[in-house]
Amino acid sequence: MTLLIKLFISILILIVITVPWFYTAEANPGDEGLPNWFIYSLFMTVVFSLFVSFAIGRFWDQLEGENIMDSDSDKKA
Amino acid sequence: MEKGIFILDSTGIVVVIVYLILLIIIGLAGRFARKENSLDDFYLGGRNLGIIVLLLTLYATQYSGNTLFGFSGSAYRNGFWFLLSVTFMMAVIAGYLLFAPRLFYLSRQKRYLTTSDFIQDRYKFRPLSILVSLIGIVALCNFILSNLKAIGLFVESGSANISMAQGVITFAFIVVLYETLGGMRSVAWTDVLQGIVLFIGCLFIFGVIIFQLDGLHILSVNLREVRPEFWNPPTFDQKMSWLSSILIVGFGISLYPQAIQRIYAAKSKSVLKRSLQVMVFLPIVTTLFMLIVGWVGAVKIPNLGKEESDTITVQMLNFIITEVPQLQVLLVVFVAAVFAAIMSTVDSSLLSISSSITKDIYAPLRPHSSQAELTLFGKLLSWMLMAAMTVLALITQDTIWRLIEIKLELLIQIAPAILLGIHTKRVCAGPVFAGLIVGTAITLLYVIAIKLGSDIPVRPFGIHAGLWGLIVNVAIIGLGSFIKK
Repeated sequence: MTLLIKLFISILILIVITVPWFYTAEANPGDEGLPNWFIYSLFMTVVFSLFVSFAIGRFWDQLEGENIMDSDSDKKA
Repeated sequence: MEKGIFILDSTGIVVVIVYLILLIIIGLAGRFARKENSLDDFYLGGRNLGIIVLLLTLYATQYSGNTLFGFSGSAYRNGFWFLLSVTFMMAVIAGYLLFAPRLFYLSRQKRYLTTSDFIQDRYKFRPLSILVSLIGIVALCNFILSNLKAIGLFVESGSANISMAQGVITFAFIVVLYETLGGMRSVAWTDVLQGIVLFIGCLFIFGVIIFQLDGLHILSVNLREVRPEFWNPPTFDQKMSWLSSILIVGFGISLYPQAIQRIYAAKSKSVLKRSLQVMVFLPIVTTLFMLIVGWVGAVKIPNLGKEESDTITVQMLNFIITEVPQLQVLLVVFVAAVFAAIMSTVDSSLLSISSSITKDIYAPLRPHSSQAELTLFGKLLSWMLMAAMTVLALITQDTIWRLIEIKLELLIQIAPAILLGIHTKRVCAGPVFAGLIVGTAITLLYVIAIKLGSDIPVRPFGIHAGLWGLIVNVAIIGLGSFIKK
């Protein structure tokens, strides 16, 4: 699997888990303060931003390369 | 609500006039800094934007009147669920990561000016590159429309006797004036001022709401009494819509033609990298702050209708002045921020449309035109486009948020052509063209059906029509490329 696909999947997973899938209407939101599902999503959003900033710094140069989704045999062809 | 005090009183109007004069002076400075009368210099500022200018022009362009009005209005109506807007503004930067490194590299080798330059270079198929241009132009016209509408609403609801039409016409005129003076250089330089003002404005309104109105108490206690439904976790359909919105808006915004032109205009790779690394955190201090305005507004100014709720930011400012009159002068900062956000987005979009029509459509028809003639054509075009957009902004009825969604659903259809085109040789023009046509047609037909009052759900299974279109688009490319192989 190429770096681009790994990154794409990582970004997709992180985006998916910012959605509060596991919080349902039956859950007790607590007596005071902000709802738990909101705090969870806000936290995951911050995690997402940290990952993206890190990935830009770490992988940019590799992503610059030519046709990185193609396998070596495709490139030779 | 008592409407005795307005943020656009005589002091506010004087500040706005000074601000507009400053923009024209900066526009003139951009004109005098011109190095040559060429498309490259006019539309990309000579590909020489440094870290401060690039960061602030990206920031001012990405955050618009939609952020200040559409987002707070949607937060007012939808509650905490609209936190998704913070995530999708971050997803924009993730979108860049998937294509900007390679595209920036190629743009330096091949001197791309527009998105379609890359498409034409990669696929060598003129109908495809023209179609990509047209989709970008339609999306950007929509963007200008929603922002002009926002400025009109702001002026009308924030002043005692200025009409929406007067506001829209005045600001449209100023924008097109400084844009045609110095092109990208003027736009980027005015964006520096506008980006700073926007940032300070958001910090300011957040500070006033939290410290002056005890916003944290309102959010955690009062809001629950007024709008208890905000505490309910989203339903499954809302969660699907949450995910769909992040994908559509996040990746759609990263494909804005004006955003791609800023990638081309960066001075160097490291300047672009560092700008994006900072940009990813800015939704926390911009988008989230504006959502808080909407949520606190739901307590302070309840029971607004759908159209009225898009003016919640202005109504909150009027409310703050009424409650704490000594803040009136300081709130002028936010007035300037509103104009900054809207004008910086409109100028960038206008510049991008002008470059697309001039370079992608007009220039191939007039192959012997000089660079100076093409630049002049682009400038005249900007004036005509802005006149048309001004008229449309005064007659369109959609809410601001709906206008944003429609353009992004169209724009995201070009994502496969760019992403796959950049990263693999396996896809070729035919399937990409077919996928783009079918994906766009599905999206458009769906939007038109909804407009005509059809009973079909606005988002089937919570997913935007644009995302369904994209799925079909990618499937056609995959199948077509497999068969061709």
